Amino acid sequence: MASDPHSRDIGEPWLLRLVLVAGAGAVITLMLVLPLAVVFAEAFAKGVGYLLSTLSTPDSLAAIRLTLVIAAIVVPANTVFGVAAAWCITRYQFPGRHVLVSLIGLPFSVSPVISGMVYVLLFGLGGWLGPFLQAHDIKIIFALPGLLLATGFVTLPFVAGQLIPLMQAQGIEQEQAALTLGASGWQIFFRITLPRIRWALLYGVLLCNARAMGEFGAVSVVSGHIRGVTNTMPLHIEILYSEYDLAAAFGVALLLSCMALLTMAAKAFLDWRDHRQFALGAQAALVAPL
Amino acid sequence: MIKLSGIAKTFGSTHVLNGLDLAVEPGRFVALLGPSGSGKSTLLRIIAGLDTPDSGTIAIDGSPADNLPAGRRRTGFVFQNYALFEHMTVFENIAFGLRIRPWRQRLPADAIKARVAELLYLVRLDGLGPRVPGQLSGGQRQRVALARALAVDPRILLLDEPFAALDREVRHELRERVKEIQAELRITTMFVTHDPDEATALADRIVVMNRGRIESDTDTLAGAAFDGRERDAVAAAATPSTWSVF
Repeated sequence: MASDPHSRDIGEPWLLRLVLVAGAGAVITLMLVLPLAVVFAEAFAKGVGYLLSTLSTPDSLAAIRLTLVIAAIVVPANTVFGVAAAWCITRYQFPGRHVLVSLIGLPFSVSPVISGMVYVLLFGLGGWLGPFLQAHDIKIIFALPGLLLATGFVTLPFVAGQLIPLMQAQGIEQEQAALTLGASGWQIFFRITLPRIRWALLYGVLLCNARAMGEFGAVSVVSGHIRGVTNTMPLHIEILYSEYDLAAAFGVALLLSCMALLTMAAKAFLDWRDHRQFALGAQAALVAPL
Repeated sequence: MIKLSGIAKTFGSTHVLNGLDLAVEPGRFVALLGPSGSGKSTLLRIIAGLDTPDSGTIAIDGSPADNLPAGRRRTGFVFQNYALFEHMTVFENIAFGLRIRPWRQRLPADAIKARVAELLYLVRLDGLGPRVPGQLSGGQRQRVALARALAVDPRILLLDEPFAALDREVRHELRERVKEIQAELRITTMFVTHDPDEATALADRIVVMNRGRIESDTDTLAGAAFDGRERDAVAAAATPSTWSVF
């Protein structure tokens, strides 16, 4: 099989191969498969009826609704922000461009707890803007606006992070060609730029959504854990767990895991699609007549 | 008619163009000849409105174009790497400039179709409309870029190193086609090249540039021969180099 370019055989002895594969398999089973299996097993431990009843308690329903509302607001907002930021950074030269790139990546390098705390220090009762907000009866911390801010901060880099390298690699020649043909800025964006970045954009949106629904640390700090009001799904799971209602905790966890699995399936599909397109493109280029 | 006066452009600390004057009569085929970094591509981009000069003025057909955005200058620009819209078919690429017009000025769909067919014939790509650029050879891609630029009825055709990315045989064939098309449409054309042979084969006026200045300006149409001494100077200066001001 030496002539087969897809063969990865570089001649290791079969025993070594077996050990390596078995080792990798054991680690994946222990760290990824088993925990997921536990979620499913524990969730169904007391039967499907109990699972459904825990999911349909008012508190659970409120947590699910709140998580969906947060994702529905934060994900579109960060999508628009990410596209606009990537556009500015890759299409224009301006002072502070590199600082902006670093700033966008900041939420990834800061612990989510700190991300939540800065908002408490800013908008909380004892915070810088606390007295002003209280005087005008505006609630941010321990309310929906705080949850949105914390989630938005933590998920800020996903879309921009996907788009910036891609748009940098693509260059601006096609946009300039459209410009000389008389296209307006919006026409260039919707007819040239967007079609070229749509899969990376979708990918970024998926990751952003997964994190927005699953975020715990930052949200935990600003939430206040008011049941039925400011409890998101991850926070609700923790409360149920600490009250030893394991079946209920795993029930909600199951729902959250299913959302994550769906995201992963969509991501895998996008990867597969990308590879296929690349392969088709290469094939087409080979058979193209001169 | 293109009239450039005192065009200057600096990138960082590099003077790319040093107060350059040039006037091109309608229908001429002008070669901008010079080594890498001589400012010829920048000059072309300034005429198209893709770059703005630091100083100097541009007039197209007698009216100032300095504040005219690229999209309203009606210049057809063919990029060195063609910049085809990879996600569109050949047909959609060529029709792009016609389809994006405000609807009052837009041709009806069947007129656009007829116009694209006409252009495909002009560049000898009949029947390739449904292909996507990924399925085309370099020479074919170049023709699509040319047809796309011509679709919007430009006042000036600007070609940036149009044949540089092609192999010899295709290059010679395409040169002839471009020359025929230019003669047929009588469109004012400027192209950038670092190849003296290409300049003499195509152009009726050869402007030699070096270090942001015009070194010589030969009107071969008026009978002047492109001086051998200059040719040698250009050839010496145009040693292959990937370095450019960008």
